[in-house]
Amino acid sequence: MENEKILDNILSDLYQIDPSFKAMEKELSALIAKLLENKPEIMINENFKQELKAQVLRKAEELKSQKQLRRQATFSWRFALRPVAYVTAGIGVVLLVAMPWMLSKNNPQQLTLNDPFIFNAQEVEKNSFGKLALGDFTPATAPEGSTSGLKQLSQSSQTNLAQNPSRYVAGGGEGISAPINKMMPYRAYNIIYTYKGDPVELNESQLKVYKRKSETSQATLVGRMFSNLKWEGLNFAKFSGLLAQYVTLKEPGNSGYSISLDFNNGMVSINQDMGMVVAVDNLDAQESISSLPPDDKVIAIANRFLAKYGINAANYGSPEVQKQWILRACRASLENRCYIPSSLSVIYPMLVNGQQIYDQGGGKVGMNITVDTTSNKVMSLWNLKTQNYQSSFYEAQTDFNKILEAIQKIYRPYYNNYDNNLGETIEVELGEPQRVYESITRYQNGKTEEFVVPALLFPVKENQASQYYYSPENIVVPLITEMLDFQDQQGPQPVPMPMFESGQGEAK
Amino acid sequence: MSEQEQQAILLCQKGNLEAFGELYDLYFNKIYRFVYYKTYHQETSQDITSETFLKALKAISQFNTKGSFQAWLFKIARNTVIDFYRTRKQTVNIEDVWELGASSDLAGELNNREQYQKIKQYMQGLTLEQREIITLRIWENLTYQEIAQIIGKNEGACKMIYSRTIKKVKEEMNPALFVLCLLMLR
Repeated sequence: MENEKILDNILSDLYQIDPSFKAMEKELSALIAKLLENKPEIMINENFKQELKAQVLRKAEELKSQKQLRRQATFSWRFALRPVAYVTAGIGVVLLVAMPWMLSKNNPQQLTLNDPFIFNAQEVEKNSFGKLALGDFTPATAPEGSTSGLKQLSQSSQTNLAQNPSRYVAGGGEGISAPINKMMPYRAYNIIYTYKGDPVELNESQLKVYKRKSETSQATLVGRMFSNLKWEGLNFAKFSGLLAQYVTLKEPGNSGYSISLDFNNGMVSINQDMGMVVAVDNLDAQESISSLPPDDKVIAIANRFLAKYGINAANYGSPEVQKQWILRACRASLENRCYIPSSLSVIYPMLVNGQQIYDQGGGKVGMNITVDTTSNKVMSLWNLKTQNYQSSFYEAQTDFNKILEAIQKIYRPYYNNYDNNLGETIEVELGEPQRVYESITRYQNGKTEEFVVPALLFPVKENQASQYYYSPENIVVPLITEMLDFQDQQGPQPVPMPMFESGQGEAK
Repeated sequence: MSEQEQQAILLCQKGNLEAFGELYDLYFNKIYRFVYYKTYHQETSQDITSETFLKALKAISQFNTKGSFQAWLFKIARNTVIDFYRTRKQTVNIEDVWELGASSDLAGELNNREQYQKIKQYMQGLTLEQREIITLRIWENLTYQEIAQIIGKNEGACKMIYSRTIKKVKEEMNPALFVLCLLMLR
């Protein structure tokens, strides 16, 4: 269709240039159509595209800082070179009017930090991060104190809600609240994952693993700002090497935003104190979904917020409204009660080399913005993280069959460790896999370290996933050999223990 | 020029250079393709594309908003390609052309080396300018005004060169092979 339009334009151009072309319309059409049809499809390397974008944006940030500095310098010089008489005559005005302006606009203390939220990776030697599989891996976004190795806990609320609904009762998390419903006990299933598609070629025997760097530069800079403060009762300058750890700033008023800067984890969150949000419930699932505002409206609100506060989303993919979890919540409710949440979460999926990052539960990892759909305002932003990494090559699995075998081991429900005949056997078919990254954390020597590892994501075919609400939507398998081998030894990871129906799974 | 594009340019010119990310998203593929047609070499295309965007970022305050941003950006890319060849005199390996993923009938025709040599000889009669105008007009769907701005000729001259080239191709050669030659020759 697009080509036809272009063809028409080109022909009409040619006729205008030389009307004699009209006599050759048929042959010309064929010629131009052939040219259009054979326009080469150049393979664009998405990694390169994203890396260059990050480089360009870093340069933009650098140029911006230089311009600001030049502007400040120019201002001072102009001022200094004015004739003395001028300066003397105008000094009163300067003091009264210009000085407060200068102080606010050209304050030499003003701190400009380079954008730490642009992806940046520095390559280090092979296997530099030591053993990736230590047995203490937890999902990157798991709340503090959560069970180590809980395989199916996902960042995305839909998966979480289905697996652990108790987190989502009023005030549960992600700025979203829900009424407490009686939850349906779920049956124990013996799930067998099958893949009927073509095998995927895995040609690379080594792949880059990324380790997130801990940030000290910002903590040092902010610490230094405080060192310059002199209060009568306390002299900050006497403390040596102050580092900022957590800083919270708040706009005045009840509905102002508060910004929390977590320098330890390189993370920013923004929250508005909205009090308890009440949701309307007792609706059927379809009514619940259709009562929600359209996605583009919610996304536009989130985008405006990012633009207004200068939050750079260059590192993130297209935003998505997360609402599948509402349907899942309806399904998980014993009384078939559904509700309309008064807020929706928008996720901006984080990208590494143009590929999305998933957590171990198959949910997307990214920056989240919660929009209050009654006031059309942003309630909170969280998981805006610094993006400085080190990269190191690790041995990767090239045998696709080994990946398929690993799925059975990693994703076999925990309770089947005790009794393989427990519950009904269900075959869950997996769709065409795609290359993604998996977000993983490692707890070692009292420190939590974050990694992004190459992985394959298999979508669980929708018709089946909808029947078994405790089944994840995606299966994510790391491609790093040692991690697969470790899973092999460990076997399945725990999932929430089902509430067995009468007689099922009782002690024998 | 779309409203979004105009807004991003104005923001950049006011010093909010982070808005350049939007312009990058809009034009990366086009610029990369354009450069690739001229180099047929992935790494070289990546280098030139990087240089193009970094140059554009530095110079965006000088861009005249009455003109076409697309043409301005293509002109930077074109000049960067010219500079590249001037300074490095890089030769292109024929094997690299296969990265283009040309359609199978073209690939089949390429196997006939003898025929290819004949066409190559013939195509040498076409100037770089003629091939460039055809590529920009048909593959990139640029207006004559934009093409004129990029190659530094007036609009009328571009139209004339274009129509003469089309006529010549139509009268003298197989269009499929013409496409092939566009891909093969610089």
